[in-house]
Amino acid sequence: MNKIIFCILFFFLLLVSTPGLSTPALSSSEANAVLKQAMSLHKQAIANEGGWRITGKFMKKAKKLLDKGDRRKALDVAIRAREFAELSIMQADMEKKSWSEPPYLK
Amino acid sequence: MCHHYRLSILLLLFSLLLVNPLLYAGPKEDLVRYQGYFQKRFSNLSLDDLSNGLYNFDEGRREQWEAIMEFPPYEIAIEEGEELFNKPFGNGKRYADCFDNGGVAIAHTYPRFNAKTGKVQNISAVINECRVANGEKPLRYLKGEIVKLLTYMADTSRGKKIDIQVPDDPRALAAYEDGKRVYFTRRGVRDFACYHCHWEAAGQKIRGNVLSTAVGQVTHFPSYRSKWGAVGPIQRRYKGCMKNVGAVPLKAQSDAMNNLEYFHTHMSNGISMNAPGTRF
Amino acid sequence: MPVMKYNHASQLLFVFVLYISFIAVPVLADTSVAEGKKLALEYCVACHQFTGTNQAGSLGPPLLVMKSRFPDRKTIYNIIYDPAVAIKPHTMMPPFGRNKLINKAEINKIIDFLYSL
Repeated sequence: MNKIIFCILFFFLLLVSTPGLSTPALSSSEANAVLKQAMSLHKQAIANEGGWRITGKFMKKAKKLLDKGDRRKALDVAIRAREFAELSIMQADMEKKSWSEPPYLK
Repeated sequence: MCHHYRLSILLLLFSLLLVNPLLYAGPKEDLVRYQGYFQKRFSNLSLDDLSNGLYNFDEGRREQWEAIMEFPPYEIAIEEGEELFNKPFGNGKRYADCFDNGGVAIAHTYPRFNAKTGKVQNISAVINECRVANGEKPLRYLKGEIVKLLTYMADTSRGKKIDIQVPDDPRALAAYEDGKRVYFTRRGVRDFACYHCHWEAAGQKIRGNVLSTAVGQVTHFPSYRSKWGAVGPIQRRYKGCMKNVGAVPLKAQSDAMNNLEYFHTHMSNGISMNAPGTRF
Repeated sequence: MPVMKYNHASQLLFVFVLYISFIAVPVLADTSVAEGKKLALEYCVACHQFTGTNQAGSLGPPLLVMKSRFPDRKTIYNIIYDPAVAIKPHTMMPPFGRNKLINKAEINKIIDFLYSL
């Protein structure tokens, strides 16, 4: 008996922990907000001569998902776009400070 | 012991003081270092040989290239470019009036530092400056009419040695140094700088493509690329490279791009122009 | 009697779970290698040669007998994550992990594949 209850509980937990199945409907504003942040960071990166193309690709993907109504996925993709934008800014800042010729050219 | 230790430190400091200005003195010293790297590494190739790029390293493609060069795909662009070049503007003036030597056999001296503006200008920039000064609309960069003009002008410099001057002006040196920064800056999600592919990795393959040497790259531009199906200038190629490493390419004719072209062309000083060229 | 029935059912379930775990572990490992190969063909082949490539690049060393050359997974993991730290600052190998091109699980799948070479 116990085992069965345990099993049912286990599968229930598995179900609950699967994203997308259990979470209440996300509002599109969340993904939109992240997307906006990504966009402004991406612009900043480009102005810094350090934009990444992958940021644009992920922003486009997120927009498409939003249009399709897949808010959960759209948010995930928008978050990745924002990460890329942040990383690209970090790279540009780092390179401005510390670019150098490779040792074999010295 | 201690005494020796101190002495050696002193000697080290002294030698650093002596050597430092020699390590970096300016574009002339850079040139010796940059060209020296490839002369040492590929001692079987002359400096002029380097201008043949990947065909130095891929026998099969070299044969195909030589076959193509019997009827070069850029010939029409030269003819059309010459016609455009000689066509007078509405006010009766010509392109020839805007360049030294009537615009003939000068392509190997561009980009140049312009003391009036304090900035670097390539031929495309001068062409458009010339048009605007004579009441014409500027041309779109990188494609079309402007490339035909470049192609003709480059052809009149064929065989001339690249001769980029960095005059004794702090702004010229700053532009050169900025070009160096752009060249050695990692960009894109793949974190590549120009140098990663075209120094240590020159002659190696990235996927199926053989990488050319940094020194000798500019001499065949503008160049017909089968990928473009047209002749294009070096800044179009830069944009392609930047895209390949996952970067949003810098804007053509921006200060950063012009300075990059200045620095990158300077490192081929002394190598004969073989532009327009062909790459496929 | 019903109790017996339940017991029987739970026993069956137990056996089933055991059965699955025996089958699944090697299958999972196999799919991990296969997925790792797919990733390697996407991210590594531009510069490295390995079994199953034809238009591979030659910028990096060929990926051969990886397990004996890199017995410690962590070494390969760190190289794939950020070679500018793990190899040398001026390396041309992209920092796949640092720049989030591939995640931790994917790096591990690639290593599973590399260890099969």
